[in-house]
Amino acid sequence: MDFKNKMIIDFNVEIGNSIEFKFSLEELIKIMNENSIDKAIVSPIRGRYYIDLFKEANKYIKDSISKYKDRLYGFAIVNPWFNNEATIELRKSIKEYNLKGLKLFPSIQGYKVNHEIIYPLMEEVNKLKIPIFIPSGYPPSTPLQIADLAEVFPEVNIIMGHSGFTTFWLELLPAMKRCENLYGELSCQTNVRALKEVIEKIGVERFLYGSSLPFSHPIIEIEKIKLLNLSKEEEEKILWKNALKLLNIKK
Amino acid sequence: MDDMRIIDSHGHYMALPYFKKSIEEELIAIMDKVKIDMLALMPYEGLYKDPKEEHDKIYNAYKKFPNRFIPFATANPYNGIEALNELERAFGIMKLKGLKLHPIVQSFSPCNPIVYPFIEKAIEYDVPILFHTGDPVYGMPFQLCELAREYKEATIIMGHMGLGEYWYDAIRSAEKADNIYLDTTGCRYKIAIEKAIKKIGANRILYGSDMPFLSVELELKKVLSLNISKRELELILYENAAKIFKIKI
Repeated sequence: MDFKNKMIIDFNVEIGNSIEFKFSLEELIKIMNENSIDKAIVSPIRGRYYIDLFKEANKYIKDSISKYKDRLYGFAIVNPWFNNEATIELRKSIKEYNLKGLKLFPSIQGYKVNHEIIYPLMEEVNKLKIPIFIPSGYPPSTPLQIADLAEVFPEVNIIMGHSGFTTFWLELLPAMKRCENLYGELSCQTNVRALKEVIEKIGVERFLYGSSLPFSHPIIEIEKIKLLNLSKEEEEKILWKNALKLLNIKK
Repeated sequence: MDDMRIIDSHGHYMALPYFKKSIEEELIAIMDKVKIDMLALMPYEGLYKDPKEEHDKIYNAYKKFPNRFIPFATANPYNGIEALNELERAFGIMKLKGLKLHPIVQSFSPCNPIVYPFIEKAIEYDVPILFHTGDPVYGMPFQLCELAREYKEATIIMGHMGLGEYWYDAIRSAEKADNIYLDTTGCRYKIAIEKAIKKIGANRILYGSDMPFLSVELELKKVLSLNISKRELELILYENAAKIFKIKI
């Protein structure tokens, strides 16, 4: 891979065991080494972690990142249906576990992404000054549905995982034009031509490299970055600079 | 990999802004670059306009490069007898080799009987039918599964195998109806494709790219990075498509 000498931060990796999927920390590190990925932001693999086991999930992420301090950052999970319990767990994950942001998964957790039930949590996110990551694509979290949330909380930076996934590339540009606090993580967005157009229109500053491991793979996702045919400076922003800025980390 | 032959079962007769030569020449240049032997060439504008003119163009491209293209026709089911007559011309006279239907663009449900005469026409000429799937309202895999179970003699390609979100339904559909083939085009989860191969075997999976609408480099890289055997890869990249498009191996 000719990106070997570049710094790369993968903004979207899921680790752990669920009924359906398995991906171990060791497998992740091996793939990162093989593909010259320097750092990754990990969250728990989709499953009960997002429903009732979120406290267990955050401990698991804390323990995982502590094993690879130089390589990994973690995002916290809470389920908004647990009201105050969720807010308290989020605060603990950020303050005590040193996790860097919050991830929500509306389709697993069972609400529409713009529903009022997540407002209290959004207020806490705002207070903690952390970004929030939400997979985007099909309902109940299309880019324009996420934009509705972003308009209510203009100070919170919201990362749209998958940048609209497959078909919903068509909502990416209108959503990002409408809200400057929306970011796009690029994994699993199929339409390279559409991505290129959005990047040309709104700039590279709000896009982040991600792999969606284990669902996709750096081999595929790095190829996509190359196909975007950007300048060196632009590539660096997408591959790592934007990520550090968003996470408020100094290199 | 170098010795593997590749049939791309999903491509469009579509111009990109940078194209300078004819569409067919530009497509062949892309195919040569990534080492694709043959491409199923489907209408693009014909999906939302009268397809006659595009059928002629696809036919001419095929005549010029008979070893590189597998020509497809389309029909809008709402145009009834007129569309059927055009299909008769496409299959009977021009000998086009497949039917592409796009329920979203053409606005019909795959299990609406309005589409039956077109399926029967494809069966009459023994050509496969590729449907776009993966988007509500009309692109849901189970709608197509109902059609496939109604017409067991039809060879149905479930384009995109449910795309981003409906791969699970696509696999279930293929388990229910063994005349359904899944095409990998645009399906983003590599582990979903691996799961499909485990569940229904590699014999009914087709590699496709949707080029030039989507990026062939990406789609090919995805299939090449699957955790499968060399034999399974050969089936997916070439042999399954050669069988249903009747290409001599």
